[in-house]
Amino acid sequence: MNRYFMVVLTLVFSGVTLKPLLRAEESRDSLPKATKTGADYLRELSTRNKDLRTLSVRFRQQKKLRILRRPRHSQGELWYADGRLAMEVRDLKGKVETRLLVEKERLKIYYPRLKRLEFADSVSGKDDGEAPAIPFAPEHWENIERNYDVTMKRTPAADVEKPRQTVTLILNALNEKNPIQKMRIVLVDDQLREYVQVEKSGDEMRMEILAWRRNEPIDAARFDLKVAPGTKRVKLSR
Amino acid sequence: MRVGLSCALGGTLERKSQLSTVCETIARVAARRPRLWLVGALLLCLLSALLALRLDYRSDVTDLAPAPVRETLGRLQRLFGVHDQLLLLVTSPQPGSDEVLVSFATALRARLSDVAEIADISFGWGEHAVALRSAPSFGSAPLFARDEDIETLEELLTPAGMRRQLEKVAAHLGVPGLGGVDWVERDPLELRQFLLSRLQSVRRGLQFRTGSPHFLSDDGSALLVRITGTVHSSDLPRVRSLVNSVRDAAEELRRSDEERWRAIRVAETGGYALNVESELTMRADLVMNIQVSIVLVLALLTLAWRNFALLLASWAALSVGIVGGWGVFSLVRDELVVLALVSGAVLVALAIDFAIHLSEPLRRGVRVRLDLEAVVGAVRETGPSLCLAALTTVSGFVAFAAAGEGFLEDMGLLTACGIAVTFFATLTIFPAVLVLFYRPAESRPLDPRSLPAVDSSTGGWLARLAGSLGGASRRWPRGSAALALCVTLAAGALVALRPPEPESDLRQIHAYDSSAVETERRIEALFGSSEEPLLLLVSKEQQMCSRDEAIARGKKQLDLPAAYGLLDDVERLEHELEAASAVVADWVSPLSLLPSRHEQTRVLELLAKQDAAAVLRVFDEEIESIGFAPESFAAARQALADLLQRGDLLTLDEISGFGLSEDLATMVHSTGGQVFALLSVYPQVTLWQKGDQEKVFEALDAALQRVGVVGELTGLYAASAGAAEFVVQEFLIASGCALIVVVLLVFLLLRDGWLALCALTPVLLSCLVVSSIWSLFGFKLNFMNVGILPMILGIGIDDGIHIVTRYARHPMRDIDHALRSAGSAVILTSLTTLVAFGTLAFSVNRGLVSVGQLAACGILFAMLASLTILPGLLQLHRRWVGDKDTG
Repeated sequence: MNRYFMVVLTLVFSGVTLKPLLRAEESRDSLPKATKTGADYLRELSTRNKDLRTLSVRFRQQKKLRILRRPRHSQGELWYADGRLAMEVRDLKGKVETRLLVEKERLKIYYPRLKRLEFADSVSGKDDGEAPAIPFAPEHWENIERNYDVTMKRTPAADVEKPRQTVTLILNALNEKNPIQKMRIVLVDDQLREYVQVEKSGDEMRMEILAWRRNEPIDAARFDLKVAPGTKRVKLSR
Repeated sequence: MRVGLSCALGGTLERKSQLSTVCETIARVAARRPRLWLVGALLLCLLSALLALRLDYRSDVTDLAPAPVRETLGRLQRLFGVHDQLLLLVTSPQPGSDEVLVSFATALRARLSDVAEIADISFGWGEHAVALRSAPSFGSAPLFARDEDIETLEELLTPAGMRRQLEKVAAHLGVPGLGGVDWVERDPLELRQFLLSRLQSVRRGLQFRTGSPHFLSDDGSALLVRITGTVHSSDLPRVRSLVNSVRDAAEELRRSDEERWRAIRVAETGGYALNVESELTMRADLVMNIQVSIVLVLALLTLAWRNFALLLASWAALSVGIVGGWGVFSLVRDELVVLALVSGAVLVALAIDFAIHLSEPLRRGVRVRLDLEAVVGAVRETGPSLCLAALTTVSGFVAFAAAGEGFLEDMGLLTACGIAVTFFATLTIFPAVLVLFYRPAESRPLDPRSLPAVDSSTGGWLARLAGSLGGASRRWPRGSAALALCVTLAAGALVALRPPEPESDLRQIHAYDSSAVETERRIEALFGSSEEPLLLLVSKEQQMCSRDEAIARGKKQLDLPAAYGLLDDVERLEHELEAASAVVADWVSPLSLLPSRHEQTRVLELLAKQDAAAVLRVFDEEIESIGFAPESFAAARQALADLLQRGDLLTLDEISGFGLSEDLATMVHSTGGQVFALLSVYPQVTLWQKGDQEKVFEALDAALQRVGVVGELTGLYAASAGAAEFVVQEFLIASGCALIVVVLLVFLLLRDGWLALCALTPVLLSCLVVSSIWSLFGFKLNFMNVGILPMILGIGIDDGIHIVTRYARHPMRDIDHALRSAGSAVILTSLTTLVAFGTLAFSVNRGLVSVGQLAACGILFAMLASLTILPGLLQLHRRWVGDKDTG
């Protein structure tokens, strides 16, 4: 599992959960009083996801990789409900490149244009770059604290009618051997807005969250990965 | 009639008197110099203890396996270094604790790195994963393709296939979270899939979480840690040291500063854990058994005798006998199976019988002074029957050696030595102690309180009990004989219809609450149903290489040409295993790591057909068109070019480069002009049932025959099956030998067919009844209780011998006298034996429990039969002899 994906998902889930709770405080400073540091803030975000049932997220992504001549742009949507995770990734023209489904530890990746379905019986693993996992475990945050120096910057918005609080977290790797050297996380009213990751190799990824809906009904068809006739099914060997 | 009776018994009595004279002489010599004999006995005990110290004590279950199974296991160990393992089940109360468990295991491995007894600690497929991550190139990976992968490879090398593959990789890069840029750069065509696909089959057997590099359960709450040792299981001190090192290290980690490790629990199983646990429980059982036996036997004798001098004399003789017997055993053997120490309790139960029988005349003669003559007189009276009883008992135990199995041999020989020495000690030390205690009593009458009077006309309450038990059969001897015949026929029919079955599960010999067995069950539940493979050792003659070649390959290095020589046969064998899918679920063979010559040749032929330049041109075009940076893929392109021009088989360097050579060396080995391959075959069902075992073994034998290679089956299942088969043979051999020797001895020494038959009937009847109980209540024959029947034969005959001898020695063949004089001793000796064996029934070890239950049954029935059936038979004999004389 790519670390960046863990961080993104956790922030998405945590931020959404925390939002109503903070609104209830009716305070301009949305951070809880006990929150002193960026690490505390991250930990609190990660623990407030208990009432999350469903989630829909729309995102846009840009990857600058050393093996690519030009940056790769994509957009897509992510759905989560009852422990199942589905994702659809499209190119900028809207053509579907991949559909992904994680259900009961089973991973499926469907490439519609290539008529190819790859699957694995388990989605565990860490940095093999193959299989995602849904990060709810608090130890992810412990790992972040252990491996990164976290700094936090708060910027109150000037809009009087609709007051907003922007929090920017900068995570710098403590060890130069860490494959992810730097992360920048931007949250507005405790909701993830932007995530940037810079790897040791120089590869960079930027993800922008365009919209999300929390605890709203999701069409069951989103989790039904239908494949076209003649699709080749391949079991992933690792 | 009296004259006739005397004539009929004349010969027997004469021979008995010769034996009596010998026994009397020995006793007289000892009683005249009691101090000298006691000092001698003490020295004998010291010498015996010193001799016993040099014995090598073994407690390895595999030592109890039949010789052919032991040989195969030994060969496996020599060839492949297959030693026992300690399996640790590391668990966390929280599911999803992968990282916590793996970090704990990593720390444990680091902490145990200096333990000499540990060869390796593994808890995952990390070695392969690490090796693959750092593999210089995947250019040779397609040579690992299986036959079913050839089509995929062929398609990949076409322009369309290559375009599809690179497009897929690009799309994959676009999915958030699915990075793998390094992998794409190194292997954009995913040539590694052919190698990975083959390696998947190595992960058969235990079902760990798919995709995880570690031996984790599906929910992430358990991790299996395999610790391979450098010591043999029978080397108990070092095995204990290994297990204790692991326990200490795990406990230290749990108590360390790492809070997340505190909730972790570690349970052990595997050969080492089972051995240590077995040794501990058996030792505790045996110590408990011996202590309780001594206390109970002492209590019984105190209650019956109420005399300190007799107690002291009998225990002195017994102690000298046990220790001396151990010393004699040490003279003839170098090692001893720890389990055989159960003979200590057996000796307490049996050897005390000599003293009990010898004390009977003394107790009857209390009206006379207890001087040297009285003691010697008692020896004279009981000596012949004691001698005969000792001979039959020793024969019964020596018959164990005929079985040729370690535990039974040791136990039989140790007990036989103890019985023989105790018999001699009873003839010498018993009188010596008695005379020494009453030395001034030449003119002193015995204290009636210290040696309670036994009315010679009634023989005390035990004698009265013995007399009353035989009353009915004496009154209706024909009816009693008919009843005995009916019971014999019924028991015989039951045994014939449902003969006792052998125990085919070696695990059943362990304790009821064995934590190691429980851990094994938990591992089975967590990681799959059949964790125990059948090991199939396949061998073939090898073309001899030159001495220089042999030296160049080195001892530990994989002999690749030899491996290729056998792998083609293994491949054909795999096809046979596929055909046997009804009984064989899966297998791991050297082909899981290294393709055969035939498989590689197919790939090479396919590559030779390709237009290398065209394939490389398509690769370049597609890389460019998709938007990849070509300079990033220079190494991958070179690997593809090398692959397309390849003409030779996989080399040792390439195999090592993928981190496979060490694992392969554990499956293929060549030595002494032969090459060996080891296959782990996983059956569809666990093989603890005989029927299932036979099906699988037959299928594998048939597969080996069809392929035409030599193969041997081993592993726990095979060892269990072999042991079960062997146990039946042992049972038949030991019982047969004991029966022949006991019958011969009884006939030889009594020299009266009818009397011998009378003496034998009770014990034979009790053996049949015990066998039928065995069948009825579902007891299984195992290597521990297999000796019970011959032992009952050897012990139970004593009751008959004592009664018949008393009957035969009496001028009037007075059955009353025989029962009165021997009956109380028969009851007392049976009770002491009963309590000694009965305590075994309360053991923790299930094998010992079955020994206790069955032995107690047999002894009880032998006593009852001797006191109820035998008087009737003697009555019939008396009438028959009387009629013959009258006629």
